[in-house]
Parts: sequence; structure tokens; C-alpha cells
Amino acid sequence: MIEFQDVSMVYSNGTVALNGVNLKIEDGEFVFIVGRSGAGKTTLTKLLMREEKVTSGTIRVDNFRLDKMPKRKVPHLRRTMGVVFQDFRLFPTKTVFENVAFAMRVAGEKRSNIEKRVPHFLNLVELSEKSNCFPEELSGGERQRVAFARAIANNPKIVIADEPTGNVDPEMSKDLFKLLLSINNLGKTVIVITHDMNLVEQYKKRTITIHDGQVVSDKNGGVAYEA
Amino acid sequence: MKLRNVPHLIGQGFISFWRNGVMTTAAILILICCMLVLGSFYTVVDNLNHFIDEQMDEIKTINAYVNAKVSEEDVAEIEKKLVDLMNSDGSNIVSYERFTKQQALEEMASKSEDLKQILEKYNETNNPLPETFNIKYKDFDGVQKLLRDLEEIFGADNIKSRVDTYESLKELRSTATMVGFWLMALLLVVAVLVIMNTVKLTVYARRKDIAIMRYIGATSAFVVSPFIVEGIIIGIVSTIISCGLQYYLYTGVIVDIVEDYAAIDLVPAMDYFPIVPLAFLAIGLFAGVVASAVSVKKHLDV
Repeated sequence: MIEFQDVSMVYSNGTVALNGVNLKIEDGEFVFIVGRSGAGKTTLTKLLMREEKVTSGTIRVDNFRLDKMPKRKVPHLRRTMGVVFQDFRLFPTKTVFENVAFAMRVAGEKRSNIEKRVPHFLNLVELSEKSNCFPEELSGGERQRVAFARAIANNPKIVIADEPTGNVDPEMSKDLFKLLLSINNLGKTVIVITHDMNLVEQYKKRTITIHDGQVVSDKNGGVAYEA
Repeated sequence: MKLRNVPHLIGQGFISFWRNGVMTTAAILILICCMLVLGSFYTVVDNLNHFIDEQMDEIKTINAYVNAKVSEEDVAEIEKKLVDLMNSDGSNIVSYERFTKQQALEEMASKSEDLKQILEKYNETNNPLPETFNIKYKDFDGVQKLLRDLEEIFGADNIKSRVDTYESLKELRSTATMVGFWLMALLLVVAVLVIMNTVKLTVYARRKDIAIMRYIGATSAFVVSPFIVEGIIIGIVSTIISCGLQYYLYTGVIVDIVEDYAAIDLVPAMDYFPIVPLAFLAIGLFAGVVASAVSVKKHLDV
């Protein structure tokens, strides 16, 4: 469960990124967070990952209180989430296998488990044959699938996809959505952050619209607030 | 960090060392350059001190002469007094060497053909050269007392010491040591700064990797450990290469040139073992490990 209560975020240069945001996402939901550039979507993601600390308000992610959490606990929070970044953020000097395995290593997984499970995830994203390739040898869509495999490698409760259509063609983003829907069906919470309204209309899921740092709409069925 | 991750993190250090070839090569080359500059400077300063020491040791000799006209019995009496002085409690004399009038004559004649011809007219009966005792002493601080004792035996006019030269050399040695020390310290600081800056750059080039590790949930220790292992490997590899190059440079180049042209005996290369390799290793490990840890820490805050 994710809960934002009266969350405000003001950057050191005075920019108000979020202003009194309240929202609650239950376990197993599929949620779109939409808004134009500069609306506050990125800040929301940063707060969820505790990359930034709130100026005021309360954020809860399961048992974690993010507004009061000490730095040393941040890695534990991040291991409960799997994030597919817009720019994928793969290790350029690690192979596809090593990129996925790294997330499991970080979580303290046994070597034998890693060797057994990584091929399974790579098979799931249809990249078994590229296991020994380096990211620069892959297409944009393939990289995104590696990022997805890494995001779900630790069986996280929450999966976040940041602008999943940003760097790949529509066909590839469709493939990713198939994967996101399938893991949502397994009971995982999926949050898709996007400015692409076509996706919202196509998948008709709960949609939270952010505008000027505030939640201006929170509706089911793929309806977004048009500012 | 879990214990089972330790072998993996060590392995990661080796893999990173290999895969970040360009940056690690740059770091190793810079480390080697710094080590060679420091090592060469140290050997130069040490050899200079060694040379001065040798000279100082050589002039720790007092020449005492016995007039040519003194009879053989009197010379024996003088020698007996000298032996008594040498064997007395707290004696400063290490050894002495008696150089007879005849030996002095032969030695002088052997210097050139012209001298040989001039000296031909002298023999045992009319040899004008004095009997000489070359007396080696150990402690320069007690030389004045020894000189007074020898003056009593040989007479004040018959004693020749190089106390002034010794004092000048002593001063030169302490100046050379001090200048060498401060220049070494300065060089060391510069070298460490250059190395740390290089390591910082190698870490900076991988700041995105560090950020990704943090996003995935890696703890600080998990991120820093492979960098430290890599720093250790860089330090050790640089030390091994530097020691090899320094040995070659010293024995194959410096010793050959100096001994061929200046006829000076240099300190044997093995006398620098293990001090130079250990110093190299200390610099390499300090720079590799501390600079890695400090630099990585700067990028951990994501």
C-alpha cells in the first residue's frame, strides 16, 4: 500500500514541485500517473524511491515511513520496488545476465538461486539468447525488456514504469504493457508514469492526474483531467 | 552486507578492473610514473648520502710522522706507546698501519717514471721520507682528545688530521639529508594528489553505475567494496611494474653510467629491498583504496 498525506515538496531553489498531495494506492492496483512535463510526476517518483525527502507531509510505502526514514534504510525500501526507468539505466559494462543478476545479488540472493532464476526471467522477456550480450549490443526495446526483467527479479510488491513509451516504438511499448499487465494479474502493484494519454485511453485503468504539483483528478476507467 | 556476497564483490573488483581497461590503465600508468619519480629521487638522495659517508669514513684517519733521523729503537718505542694508547680503556683508535720509510720511498717512486729517476739516488741510509703511522679512529666527537694524546707521543708538528674537512662534510651531509627529506615529502604530496585525482576521475566516469546500484537498492558497502578491491589491484599491479622498472633503471642504467664515468661505488640495488617496494605498495594501496572510497562516497547520495 502506498499513501501520500498532504505531501509538499519545495526544492532548495524555491520551486514548488508538489503541493498538498493526497493519494492512496492499494496493493495489486494498476495505476497511471499522468501529467504534462513539469507537473510533478518525476518528483513523485523521486519521493517514492526516497531519492528526495518531503518538505512536509507523510509518505507510507507498506511498513516504511519515507518522511522519517533514516538513509541507511533506503536500500531496503528500494528492494521492495522494481523500477523500469525511461532511460533503462542498465550497467554498460555488465552483460544482460549480470544486469539482472545484480539486483538479486543486492538483495542477498544465493548464487545457486540467481543462476536458476535469471534464465527464467530472461526467458519471460524473450531474451534468453542475448544473455551474454552487453547493453550496447541490444535494441531499445530489448534494453527495456532487460530493465523489466531486472525490475521483477526480486519479486517486488510494487513495479514502477517511468515513461515506458518514451524511448521505444509503439509495438515495443505494447509488449512491455503485456508484461506489466501479466505481473499485475499476479497481485503486484503497477504504477505507470506517463504523459501519453493514448495509453490511458487504451488500457482504461485508474488514472491520477497531476497538474502544477497537485492531484487534480483521480478516476477509474482511463479518464484523465485535461488542463 | 551479507557474508555470502564477499567472494562476489571481490570478483566484481577483478571484473571491473579488467572491463574498465582504459581508465584502469591510465590510473596504473600515472601511479607508475609517480612511483618511479619518487623511487629515483630517493635513490639519488640516498647515494649522495652514501658517497658523503664513504668520504667521511675515509678521512677518519690521522697521519702521524716520525722524523727520518730518529733511530729504529726510538720508532719502536713510539709504536709501543701507540699500541698502549690503542689498548687503553675507552680508546678511540680502531686500528693503525705503519708505513716504513722504505715503503714510502717505493710508493712515491711508483707514481711516475720521472719521480723514479729522481728518487734513484736515495737508499736506506739517506732516505729523507719519514716513518708514517696511519691511525684510524671511530668516534669523531673524541678526536680532539685523541689528537692531544698523539701530540704527546709524536710531537705537535708531526700530526696531520683532516678534522676541518670532516666537519664540512658533516655539515654537507646534514644539509643534503634535510633538503632531500623535504623534497621527498613535497614529491610524495604531489604524487599522492595526482594519483588521488586520477582515481577520482576513474570513479567519476562510473558515477552513473554507482547511481544505478543505489537505485536498485545496493547498500553503501555493497557499492564501495568492488571499487576498493579494484583500488587494491591497481595499487599492487602498479607496485610490481614500478619495482621491476626501478630495478632495471637503477642497475641497468644509473649504476652502469655512474660507475663507468664517475668511478663512484653506488649503493647495491638489493639494499633498497624491501624499503622501496614496501614504500611503493604503501603509496599504491593508500592512493588506490582511500581515493576510491572517498570518491565513491561522494556519488552515493542518490
